[in-house]
Amino acid sequence: MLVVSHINSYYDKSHILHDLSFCVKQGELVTLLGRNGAGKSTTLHSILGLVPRVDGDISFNGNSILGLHTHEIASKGICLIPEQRDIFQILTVEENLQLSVKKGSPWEIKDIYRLFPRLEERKKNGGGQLSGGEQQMLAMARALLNNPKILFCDEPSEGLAPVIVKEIVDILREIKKSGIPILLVEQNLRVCEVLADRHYILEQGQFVYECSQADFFSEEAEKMKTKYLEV
Amino acid sequence: MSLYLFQILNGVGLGMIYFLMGVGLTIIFGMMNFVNFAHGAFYALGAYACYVVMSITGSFWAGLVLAPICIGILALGIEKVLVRRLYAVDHSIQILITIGVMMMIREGTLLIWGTVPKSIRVPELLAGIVAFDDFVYPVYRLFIVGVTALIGIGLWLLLEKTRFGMVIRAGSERPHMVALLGINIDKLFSMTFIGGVALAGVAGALIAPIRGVDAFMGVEALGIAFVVVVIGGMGSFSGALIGGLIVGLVQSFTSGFWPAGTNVMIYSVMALIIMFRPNGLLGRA
Repeated sequence: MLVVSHINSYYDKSHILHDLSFCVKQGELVTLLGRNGAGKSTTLHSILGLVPRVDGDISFNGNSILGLHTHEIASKGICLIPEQRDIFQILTVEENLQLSVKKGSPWEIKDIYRLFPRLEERKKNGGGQLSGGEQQMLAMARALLNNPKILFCDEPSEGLAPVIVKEIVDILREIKKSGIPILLVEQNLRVCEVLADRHYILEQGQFVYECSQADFFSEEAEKMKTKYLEV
Repeated sequence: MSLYLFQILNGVGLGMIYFLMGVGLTIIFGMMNFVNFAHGAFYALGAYACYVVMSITGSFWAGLVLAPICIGILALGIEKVLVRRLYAVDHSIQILITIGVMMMIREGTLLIWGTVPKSIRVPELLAGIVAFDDFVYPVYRLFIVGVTALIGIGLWLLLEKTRFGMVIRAGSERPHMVALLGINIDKLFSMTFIGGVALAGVAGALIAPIRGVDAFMGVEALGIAFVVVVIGGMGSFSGALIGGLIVGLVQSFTSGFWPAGTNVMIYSVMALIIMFRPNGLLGRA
């Protein structure tokens, strides 16, 4: 479905990603793991056309998307839930949702209010007045309304209370059940373990390890986790 | 008493013209992070366009309607050829290049229409005065207040009540996120630029019968438009309205007792406001 082959990404003169190749198949949840600065977000941004220079090839459903504008890539159904949530603060919650509505999406605003009752309670509030957890829910809701064919989720649990994280995990599980593949960047390994099918570990812009969920607790995987993920 | 009323009305009229100038500048800046020093030149061109249409057709109304359309078409061309390449570059480069555009337009108008100011007659319908007791006021100046208020309300409805306006507001805050929702941000940028510049054209055409038309009106208006934006806050629609009215009223009252000091007063008020609110009255941090 999403195939990334041999990409190299650059910001100005710094070479961030080195010859990265991976894929996400239909219905799969794949994680990108690694320490801060390993290149996880840059990987997502490279696919979305937000990095000034990317070499290699990226294809989505068989068509190359490298070099397209961000809005063209997004229109193909690659939806990002950004790390900073990027809620429109001067718009109300409801306007944030309306802006994201796209024809053909399996989710409508009423489904969103069923999934996230809190957003309905706060629909007249400005986006800037939401708590961190509510912002994360709104960012997810926006992506769902945008007719996603694949979701990129960048550190959804960051800075949230455990009870909210649990809620977010439940929603991600429900999205996955609906068949939409997810590429998840996450520091919280517990979240990754309960959701993922496969894992990639990044270090300094290169993959150092790849395994399935079944092998994620093998001796080798534990060694890799200690070496590349422990702070 | 009637003197004050006179000055208030003058101030509001001027202020609304400044609002039209400032709102284009501020929305273009808020959304594209683009500093347009040619904004005043488009205002002057709006006045010239009104003058040309009027001398051909004999109708001020035709001038008032066609001037912003001409300026909008010009803005479309300039955006396609030049401005869209500048959104990503540093402000200093944007400023240098748009100053170049401003000078080309100014020298162009001087070449075509010369240094002698042109005048535009107020149309018959608006040429009179209104009188209440001992208070008299030109109808045309009231017309300016009315038309600019209507444009302001129209703009507000467009920005607050339509999907297009919602996209503009979202784009002025986080253009990348708008693109990530699959919305063509480049198209939105050019429409905003054209709209903002056309509003400067409207302002120029409206002021022309009062102030006359000359090649240097653009520079004067540019300075004021920036003051309006700084007072109101970069990127804020309501800020441009409040900023415009403040500047208009300060200018009108100062000219009553110290005509030479209007600019000093305007810039002093601006300095005072940003001392207490560095982001302007309604600006975001």
